[in-house]
Amino acid sequence: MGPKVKKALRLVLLISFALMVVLGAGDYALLRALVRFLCPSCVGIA
Amino acid sequence: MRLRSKRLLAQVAAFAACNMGFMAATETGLVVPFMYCHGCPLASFACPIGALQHFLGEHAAPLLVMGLLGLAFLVLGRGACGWLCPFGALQDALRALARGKGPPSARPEGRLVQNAVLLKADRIARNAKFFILATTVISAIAFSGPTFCWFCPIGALFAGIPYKLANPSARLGLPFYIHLFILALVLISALFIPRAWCRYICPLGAISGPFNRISIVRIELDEERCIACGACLRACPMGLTALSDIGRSVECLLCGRCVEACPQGALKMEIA
Repeated sequence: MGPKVKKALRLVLLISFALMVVLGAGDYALLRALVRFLCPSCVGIA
Repeated sequence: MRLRSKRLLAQVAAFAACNMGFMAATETGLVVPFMYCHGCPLASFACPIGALQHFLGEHAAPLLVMGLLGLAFLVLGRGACGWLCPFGALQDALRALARGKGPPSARPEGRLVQNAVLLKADRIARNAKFFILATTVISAIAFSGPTFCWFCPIGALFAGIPYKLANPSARLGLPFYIHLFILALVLISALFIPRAWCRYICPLGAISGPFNRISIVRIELDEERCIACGACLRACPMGLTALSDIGRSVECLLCGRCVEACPQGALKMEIA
């Protein structure tokens, strides 16, 4: 992969991922609710 | 500061950052670019695989999770596994314990087994992590649940065991002991095979590995300085077998042990 192709690919991916973060920003609260939630069946404490 | 000390410092800092959830201000809705269970009583970040499965199980697009991971991997490649992952650090510590003391040349990490059949088996087994990733995604959608978490040893280590320690009278079911058994298997494997979990199983490594080719943090080889002594490959915990794989292969953790081992200074960690 040439350096120009690499840089172009990086830029495309950077824009795509940044866009995903912006579009998915509404999920922040959902993710925060997951933090420190211990799924009982997942770790076998049911 | 030596690269080894910097790596250790980064691993300790990452572990500390993951366990800051005891303060409301540091409890975030972000994912870390390495495996860490958000069921941990002190967790301050979400587990990327756990969060991914959660969204897929709800039949929702995991946009924020994939966006954050993509940005992190674009910068770090698989470097988060080598520099930040607490489970990776634990495997490093176990391997160091099993290896004992002695000059690096006497305790090669790469190509531990010279048997051709076992080397081929090792190469084939490395594909298991891609299969596990695919199975994780498909089963999370099919069963609407975090199927990987049902077996995850990292969940047992960082969430299940602390829960049991904090609640000694808690009744535990069979899944807890299945988790413990898998955790024991992985940790015992790590004594004999450096980074066994990262080599064969970690589904996050299967996502971050391909980013090594375009990541901003990278390892570069100065071919004019290289004398092809193989010191870098002997130091590699992932058992890379070709110079061309360093910094580029999906297996490379960008940990920098090859950089430390090179007597000619032909390898450099770069930000480019």
